[in-house]
Amino acid sequence: MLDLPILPTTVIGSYPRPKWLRESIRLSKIGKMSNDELIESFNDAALAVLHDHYLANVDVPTDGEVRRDEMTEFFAEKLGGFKFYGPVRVWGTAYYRKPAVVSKVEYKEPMLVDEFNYAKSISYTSNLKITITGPYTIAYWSYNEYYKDMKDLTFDLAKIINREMRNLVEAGAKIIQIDEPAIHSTKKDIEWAVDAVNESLKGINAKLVLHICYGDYRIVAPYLNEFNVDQINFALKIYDYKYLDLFKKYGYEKELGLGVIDVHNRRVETAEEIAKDIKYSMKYFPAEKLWINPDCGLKLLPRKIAFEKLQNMVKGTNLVREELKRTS
Amino acid sequence: MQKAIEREEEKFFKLVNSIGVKYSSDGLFRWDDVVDVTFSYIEGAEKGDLMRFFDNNFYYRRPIIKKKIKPNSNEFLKYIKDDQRLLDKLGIKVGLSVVILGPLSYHNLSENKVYDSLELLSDYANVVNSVVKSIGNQVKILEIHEPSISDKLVKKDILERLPSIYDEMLKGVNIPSLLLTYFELNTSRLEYLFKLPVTYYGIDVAENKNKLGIIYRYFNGKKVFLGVINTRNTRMDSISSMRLILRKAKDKGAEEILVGNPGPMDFIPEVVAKRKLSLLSKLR
Repeated sequence: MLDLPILPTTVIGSYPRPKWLRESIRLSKIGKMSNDELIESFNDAALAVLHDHYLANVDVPTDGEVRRDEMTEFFAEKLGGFKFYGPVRVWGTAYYRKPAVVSKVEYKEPMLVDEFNYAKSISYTSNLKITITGPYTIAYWSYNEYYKDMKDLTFDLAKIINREMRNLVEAGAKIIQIDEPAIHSTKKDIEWAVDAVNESLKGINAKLVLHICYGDYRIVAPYLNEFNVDQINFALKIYDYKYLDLFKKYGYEKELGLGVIDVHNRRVETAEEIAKDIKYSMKYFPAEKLWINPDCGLKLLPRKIAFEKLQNMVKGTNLVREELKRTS
Repeated sequence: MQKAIEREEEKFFKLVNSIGVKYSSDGLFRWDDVVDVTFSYIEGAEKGDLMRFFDNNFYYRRPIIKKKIKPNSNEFLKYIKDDQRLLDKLGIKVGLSVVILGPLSYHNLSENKVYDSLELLSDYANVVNSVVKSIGNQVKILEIHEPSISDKLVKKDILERLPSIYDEMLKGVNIPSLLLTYFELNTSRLEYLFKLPVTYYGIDVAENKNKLGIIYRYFNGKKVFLGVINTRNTRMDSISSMRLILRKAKDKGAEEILVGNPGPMDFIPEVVAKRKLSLLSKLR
């Protein structure tokens, strides 16, 4: 466990659902597929994704979050206190069912334990990562109709996320990534948002990773060392790594997950380009502190392109590893 | 696609007609977002990366300006004509508004590889001026979306030049202009905002309730547009609170008051957006 090479490669979480899974979900929604058959489809999809990760040689894979339609919606559906009015646009033709909090949020039952147990049973490595959406992002990406303010809602959600993480650790999770893509949405919340994330991580005995992506990292940069995690990964490729300088300036000292794949662009980065980007990043942070990952989840890309991007990510990382070996 | 858009527009026009609104856009169903609209009236920008639209879980394609921008009226004018034809067919008398992105927001939300900032603002103002003049009397009001007015990073020299940029943009435009500044307002910008040469000054009242005391100070003798609906929360807005705000704005000397949704309604589900718009009819 965690016997990893230098510059470990990983994914952020989501991966394109196989086409047949989308069809299974459609059939299930119209009552033409039973729940057991749908679960079988989800399991098969997790197997397919892990196989892609295996073929690409990813050191720390996930199951591609194949059971989750969307990162807030999935949890809101399983908790008490939420209501859905309908879809809202995220961009272009991409929509999600943004939930509304209409009463006190409540934990009902484990949300990810079955998903984790199945992934663990089929994983090619014990270095499996499980992801969970953080309290601030769930709160920020929901409508608050009930709580006095978002802070109260977020701290209630932090307790819930903490409970779920404890269940995951009990089930054997060793690497848990808490996804907080909304954490830097607004400067006025950031100080208590950091506290809320830490509240959700209290007493969790696992390697903890925080995922932050897109937007203005200047808001969160001064607080990065305050998160009680081992690693923070960021979307960086899309910004041409301009934020590395800022992280360095604020004395960031944890492991850094380096986003080297633009997940919003279908162009497949070459291995050489990725190697060049990693070497550039090593001017700011030592190789021992770097993990290599895409900017964000790959789910919106065609599967073929997502796979090719992952393959090249690992090939590019290997080029740097070889160079490091030669020079050491 | 065209037919699907027309179907949605028809439903939307019928809804706004039932509420009895004075002005309305066509619902912007042709575009992904307000930044996307600019690609229909500007030549010289390409669609770039997805960027977060302010503090929302909502993303737009950033315009990448790689060469000098030029007006492209044909496509835009065709859409306006199609909209008006549809309104005529439906026998709906709502005054059609044309939606454009404000120059400051275009500047801030784009990646500019050609101009210095003031040059871009000026060229953009001239492009819009040409496009809007070519539309002529097809529309009844010009709706300018300027959410970047509160952006903390806007430099003082740009803010100071903004009235003259707006002068360039609105020179010879013979329809009223409505400036929409949605989301949380930076009150230090109010002085600049109320100097802009527009007809109606739009305020997102729903998201600035705790700042209204300061905002009201600028209302005397001005025509204002009060965005009384919260377009980022599903909770229904209170009619009595809306009425109170309208009365207060009048007491503070507002010369004329329009009410409506402060900005795009992409941030709430359609069913809620419809319910919220219907609240407006109860304000009479």
